[in-house]
Amino acid sequence: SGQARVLPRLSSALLLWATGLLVSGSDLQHHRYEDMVRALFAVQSECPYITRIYSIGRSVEGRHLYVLEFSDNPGIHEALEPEFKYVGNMHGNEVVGRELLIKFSQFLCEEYRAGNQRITRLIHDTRIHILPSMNPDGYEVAARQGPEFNGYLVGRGNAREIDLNRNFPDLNALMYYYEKTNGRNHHLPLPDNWEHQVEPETLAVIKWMQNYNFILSANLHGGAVVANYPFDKSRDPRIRGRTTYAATPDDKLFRKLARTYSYAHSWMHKGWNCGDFFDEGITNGASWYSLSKGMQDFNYLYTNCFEITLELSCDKFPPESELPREWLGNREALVSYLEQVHHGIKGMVYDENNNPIGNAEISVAGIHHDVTTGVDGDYFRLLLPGTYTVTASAPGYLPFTSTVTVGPAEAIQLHFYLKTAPKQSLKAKPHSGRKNLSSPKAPLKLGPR
Amino acid sequence: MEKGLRLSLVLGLLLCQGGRSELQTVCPYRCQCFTASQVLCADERMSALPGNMSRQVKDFIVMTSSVAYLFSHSLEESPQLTRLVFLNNALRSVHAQAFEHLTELRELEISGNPWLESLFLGTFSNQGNLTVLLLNFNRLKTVLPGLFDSLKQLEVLQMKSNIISSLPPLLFLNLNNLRVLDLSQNKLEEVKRETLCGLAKLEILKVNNNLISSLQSDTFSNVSQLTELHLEGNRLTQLADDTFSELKNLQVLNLRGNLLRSFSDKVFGSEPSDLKELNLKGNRLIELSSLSSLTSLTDLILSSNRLLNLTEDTFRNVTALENLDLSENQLTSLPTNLFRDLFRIKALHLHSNNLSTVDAKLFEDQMLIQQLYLSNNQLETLPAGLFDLFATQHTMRLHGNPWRCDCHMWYLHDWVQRSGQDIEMLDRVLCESPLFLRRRTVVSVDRDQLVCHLSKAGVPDLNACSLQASNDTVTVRCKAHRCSPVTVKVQFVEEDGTTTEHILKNDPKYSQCSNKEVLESP
Repeated sequence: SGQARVLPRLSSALLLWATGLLVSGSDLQHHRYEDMVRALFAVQSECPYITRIYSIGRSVEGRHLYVLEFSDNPGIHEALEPEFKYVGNMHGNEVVGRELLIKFSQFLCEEYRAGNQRITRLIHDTRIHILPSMNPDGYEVAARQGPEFNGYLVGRGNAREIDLNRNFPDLNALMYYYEKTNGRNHHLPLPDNWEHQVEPETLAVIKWMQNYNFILSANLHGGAVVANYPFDKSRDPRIRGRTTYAATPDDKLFRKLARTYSYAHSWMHKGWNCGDFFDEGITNGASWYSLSKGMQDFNYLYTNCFEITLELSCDKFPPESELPREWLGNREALVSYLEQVHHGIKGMVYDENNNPIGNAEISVAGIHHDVTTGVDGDYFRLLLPGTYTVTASAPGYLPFTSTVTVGPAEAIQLHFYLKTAPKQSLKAKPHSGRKNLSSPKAPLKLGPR
Repeated sequence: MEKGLRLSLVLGLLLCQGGRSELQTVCPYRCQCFTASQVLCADERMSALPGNMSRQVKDFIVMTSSVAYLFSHSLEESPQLTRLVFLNNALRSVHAQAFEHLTELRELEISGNPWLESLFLGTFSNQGNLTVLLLNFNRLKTVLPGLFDSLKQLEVLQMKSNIISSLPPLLFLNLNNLRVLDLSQNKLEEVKRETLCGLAKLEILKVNNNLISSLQSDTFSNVSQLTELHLEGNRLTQLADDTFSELKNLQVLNLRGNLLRSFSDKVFGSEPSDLKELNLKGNRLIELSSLSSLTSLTDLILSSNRLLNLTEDTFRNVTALENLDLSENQLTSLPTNLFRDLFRIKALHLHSNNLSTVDAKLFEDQMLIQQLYLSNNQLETLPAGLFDLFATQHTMRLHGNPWRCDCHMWYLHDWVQRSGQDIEMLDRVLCESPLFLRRRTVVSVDRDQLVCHLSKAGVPDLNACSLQASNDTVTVRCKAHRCSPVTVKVQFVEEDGTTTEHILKNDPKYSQCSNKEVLESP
């Protein structure tokens, strides 16, 4: 890298090796479990009024899955303030995300203290949850080997060597069936007994998703450099070797989200990385390779959360000296992506007495993926700029439809006031927003299996 | 009988063995032991340190407990410890002999105790092997002279975020191996030369986020090996010449968030400096004198100041520069040669200023640029050829400018069409004028729509036009007062109602504003 500094070449790859090896790099290091915990608590001590640490559960070996929360009111969901999460180190040996999220936490705290307007605004308007390591046991296995000797698979899984990104309930098959039969398009039911079929780390994360109404998320991995968006699982698993693009109803939006990260990243958008090429640095999961039971698809199919998977580095466990470059390359992207949670529309759903209605459905005509309101009656629907017809509905109320134009800037607020339905129409189907001309059949509702 | 005896003997043996192995692997109550050498206790119900810890334990970490006192005997049974961490507990007092037996200790942290106001003299007297001592986020008001005298091997000392307002002279006199000293987030009003005495190997000094309002020219004369100096978040209003001139190895200097009104490279003395990173963000800089002695500087952050303009020689000789951030100032224009010879620039941030024009040759030497941010300025147009020399793939931000989508935009428009992938937030690059294109994205506008409705000043007075017809040729002669591109649209309406349109552009570059006749036949 020293040579690249002296002899600038047109090759950007070479140049990037020399990028700011010094910039605030002195505190970037690998963190073993206890060092990570110390680092997180240090951030909490440094910014006590805007942070909170909580554990969502324990790993197989008993390590806490600590989350650091940033908010102007830590520990409290404020209506109309969206919840965001970053998850790192799901594969124990993919460590760049873990270190970036520790550094990102320090960065948010320091910039807030320094009065950085952009960061201050972000923390005031967003509730940010950071889980730097979802697989602390796997990390220890990988870290014991160290960066030099880390094989491709050592420490990927948890202490029982289960790959956590193949461990979530598979909801895609049901989704693809519902697509054909015009069934439910969101919050698909979990299989019976699911708690006993997943690992403790997975269980902790699913419970976490149940307790917080996350809107946007990213899951940080390593081994390639690309922003990967759902679906991960191919619609037609029979075509082996050749996988096909599995678009979600929110495909355009997901592409935009992925592009936001890849372009704000110093080199992801260039496409050529690690000997692979991804146009614009983004890819649909299934068109890369089909993957079942992943966390990304689960977010979209079981919650209101839109998650993408970020592959950040060719080397899954790079030497410490590589971390400053990774940080500088990702810093702006981590902030820009987070800011995306403030686009689209958001608002409240009230009844006639101005009481908020929880779990009301928000449907956007033309996009067959509804979202629901949280317990406070607030909803968030990420959308690209454009004009939309939006319907709010809830059992026992008459649905209400509005038209709204979304611009490129802040989320538009659109509130709904639902009238109680007359007795006879109480049976009305809850998916009134999904009237589909091509399939006028009433939605097929299957009970939870 | 014999059988019974034998059986009980075997049982006894089993029990005995079972008991012993249990002793070896027993983990203290309310603690976790992921390996035999480490004990981690994180339970707020724990109010005293656990007893009978295995002698194998080297690492002992106690966090978020309610342990309030460390007594002289608290740790006497674990003299083998090499790392001891107390984090976010409720310690009120640490006995002077608490660590007396811990002679093997290499790392000690006592952080996050909001009621810990002082440490007794002699607390660390047997820690001659200690290399890392962290005393952050407590409530230490000061430190007694001599507290650190025995720490001859110490390499890292942090006392971040206490309420220290002053430190005794010669406090660090024996810390001849110290590399990192962190005194940030305290209430220090000054850094005295005598306080830094003995720190001949110090590389990183953090005194950021204190109340320091001035520095003397000899403040740092005892720490001449410094490579990083953090002074951000203080109250410095000015820096005297030669303040940092003793720091020949200084690579990183952070002055962010002070009250500086001006900055000059004279603070580094007269010789060229080796400085690589200089952060001046969030000061009150109105002017910036030439930085030409900073010939090694790669990163320069000048954002969030009050710079109105820059002189042409500001960055002369600063040719190693790779990242330059001038965002969030009040710059209205930039001298044509401002970035001249800065061939290594990779990131140039000019967003959030008041730039209304950019010279066509401004970026002539930035062929290696990878990131150019021009967003949130007052730019209506960009000159043709501005980006033509960029050789590497780059990303650009152009949004938040009042783009005028007329014939002057052809260059930018073509470039946006061609390189749209390189522009971030393309959906926010909007036309501000003319009215009929307002709020449209530049990328969505058809090139043919980029027309110049000649302004009153430039438009030929149609009353002064003469119309001549001879045979099948119509000649319109107008007199233009100004030299601007003129587009003439001729519409022929056939008898069947079809319309054909001919557009004629007169580019002043070629016409040189001669009284050229433009002819067009159907």
